Amino acid sequence: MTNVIMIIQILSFFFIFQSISRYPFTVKESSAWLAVFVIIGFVSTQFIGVWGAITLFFCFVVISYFKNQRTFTALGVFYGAYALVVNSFIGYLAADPITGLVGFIFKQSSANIEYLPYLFTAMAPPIINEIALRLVRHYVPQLNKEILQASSTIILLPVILLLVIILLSVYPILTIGNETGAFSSFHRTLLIGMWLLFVVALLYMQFQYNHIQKREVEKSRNERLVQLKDYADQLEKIYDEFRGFRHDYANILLTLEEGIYLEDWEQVKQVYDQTVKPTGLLMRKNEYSLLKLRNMHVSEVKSILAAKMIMAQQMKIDVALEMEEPIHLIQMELISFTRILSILLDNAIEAAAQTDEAKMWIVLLEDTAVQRIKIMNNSAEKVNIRHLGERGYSTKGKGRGLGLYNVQQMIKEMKFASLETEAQPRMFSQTLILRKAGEQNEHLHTRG
Amino acid sequence: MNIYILEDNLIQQQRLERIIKTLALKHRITYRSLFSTAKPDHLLEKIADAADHQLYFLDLEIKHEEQKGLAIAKEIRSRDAYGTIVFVTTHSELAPVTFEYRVAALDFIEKELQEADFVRKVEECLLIANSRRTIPVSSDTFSFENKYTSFQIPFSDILFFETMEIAHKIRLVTKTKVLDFYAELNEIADQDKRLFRCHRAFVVNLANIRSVDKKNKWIWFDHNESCLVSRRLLKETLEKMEAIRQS
Repeated sequence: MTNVIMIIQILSFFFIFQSISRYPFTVKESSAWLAVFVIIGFVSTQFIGVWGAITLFFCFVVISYFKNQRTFTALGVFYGAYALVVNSFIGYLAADPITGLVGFIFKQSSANIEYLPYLFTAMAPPIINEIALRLVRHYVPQLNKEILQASSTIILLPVILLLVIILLSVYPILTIGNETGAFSSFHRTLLIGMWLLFVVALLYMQFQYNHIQKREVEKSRNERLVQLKDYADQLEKIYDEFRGFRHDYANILLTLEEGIYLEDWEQVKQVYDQTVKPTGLLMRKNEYSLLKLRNMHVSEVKSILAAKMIMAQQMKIDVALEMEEPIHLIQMELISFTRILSILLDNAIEAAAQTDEAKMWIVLLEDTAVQRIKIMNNSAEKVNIRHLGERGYSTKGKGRGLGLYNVQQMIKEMKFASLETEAQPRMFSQTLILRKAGEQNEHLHTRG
Repeated sequence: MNIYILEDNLIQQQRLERIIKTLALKHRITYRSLFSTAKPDHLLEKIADAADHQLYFLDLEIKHEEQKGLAIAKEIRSRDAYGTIVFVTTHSELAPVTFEYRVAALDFIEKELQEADFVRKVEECLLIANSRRTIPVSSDTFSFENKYTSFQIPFSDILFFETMEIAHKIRLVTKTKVLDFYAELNEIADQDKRLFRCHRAFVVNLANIRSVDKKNKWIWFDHNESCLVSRRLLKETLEKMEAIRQS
């Protein structure tokens, strides 16, 4: 019987780990890992008793390592520690009520029910954890995976440290408890203290997260302000140019008129060549594509587009913007969208800057079913698009491919976003296709 | 071939007509009619009864009505799916990618160009339109639409579709592009009989297979791309491929 309970406990660890980390597991993967767990669990318990659970912790860290594209992250360690602590925490809390309940229900039964409390206690943690997590995710949606992903190592490290301390102090007590069959009141106090510490750790994380987020919002607001100011400056510059032109225009007309009445064709020709003709060139400058930003009515996106376009122009890149229809809404959560847009624009600017005739295009298209954002640049070499987006792959050299990797990581979770990447011999483009949600989707869905 | 010019500036209109006539003579391009107008409605009336390949030179800015050009181009496109549309316009109106998407416009010719460059651009367009007269433009596009995405791609560009590490995320690999989107592989295989699910993780375009490595169970395409074929479906893949080739 103890074996069955132990297997259930090992399964509990795994399920808790899975529900907190939300790593996707195929059936095959799950069964393979479970088999590994059970074996490791049994073998280690044989030698080190309750401490066997600690070996599972390392297993979780290893899983996280693989699930995170072979990198160790603080988050991975946190998931492992969380699974272990929560399992014993809930198990500890649930043990007494369950024992009482079982005793009460089976009061009349004469069957051997001694193992039942253990069985239920072993099964309780994953179930309670799942329910609690679901409730939290449902009622506090901002406490989603993003909270953990966004929390930097700085927040996670103290939490992990705390969890490890809890683990290290709880397991010896449990071991003693198991051996003697009873906990002394001192140990009980210590255990409760540890669990309180655990709750404090989670609260601390939440607090830190809020703090960091507030700071981020503040920072991006300031950034946007600066960007919009640059944009306004640039518009003023363009306006000045036009004003100058308007001023000249009157003079040009006067001189031409004079030449025409005097039939001095030499003068007319000279004025035309020297003053009228160059204005055509003025009109051809793509600097004015900045004016097309008036069609963008989402100020966050407008400020980023303006900032990046100005930056590109300062780097002597010819930037063309196509936005023929007004855009009032972006079909994606704005924070993610602006991050993705910035990365795509930065990549395009960097790649274009390395070419002789640096040029880039930014195109926003509003269709009935989709919104298309295309960033195109000329590139010095043909990019291998099949490897693009892999962690660390970059045409810019080793260890610099994180931008596109991040884009793909973000898009991964978004069902309504598709990413198209195109490479021609001297041209590279990325198109974000955002499906519009709404009634027409329902209609189309019945078709598909 | 019929050639249409929509331009409200008479001087520009005559200039373009003159250039086209000279170039047609030079390249021995015969056209049935060369029709110039300043009125969009006249142009739209004309194309209603046309069966030939048509070449349109459109000014985007008609009587200072912004966006009018795009509306006219869309109207033309709805009546004539295969005609060649070229915009002759000022630089500030330029939006090549947008117009390519919207009406499959062939090119933009800037009015401000130097005479020699201007003539060269018109010449290019004329030659392309003339070649399209004999070879019909392929309308064989793969249009995919589900709840999560919507896109079109020339069928002949498609190599294969593959599953990605994320559930339900599919990657389409074409000759020059990759496109990641949300869908089911079966959903895709059902779209066209040339698409076949030859492996748990792959749907291939049978029409674009270059060779099949039967021993190692690999399917090879041009551009050095390859995917797997399952042992169980190898025979069926080869049969279907053969059937597609013969049809």
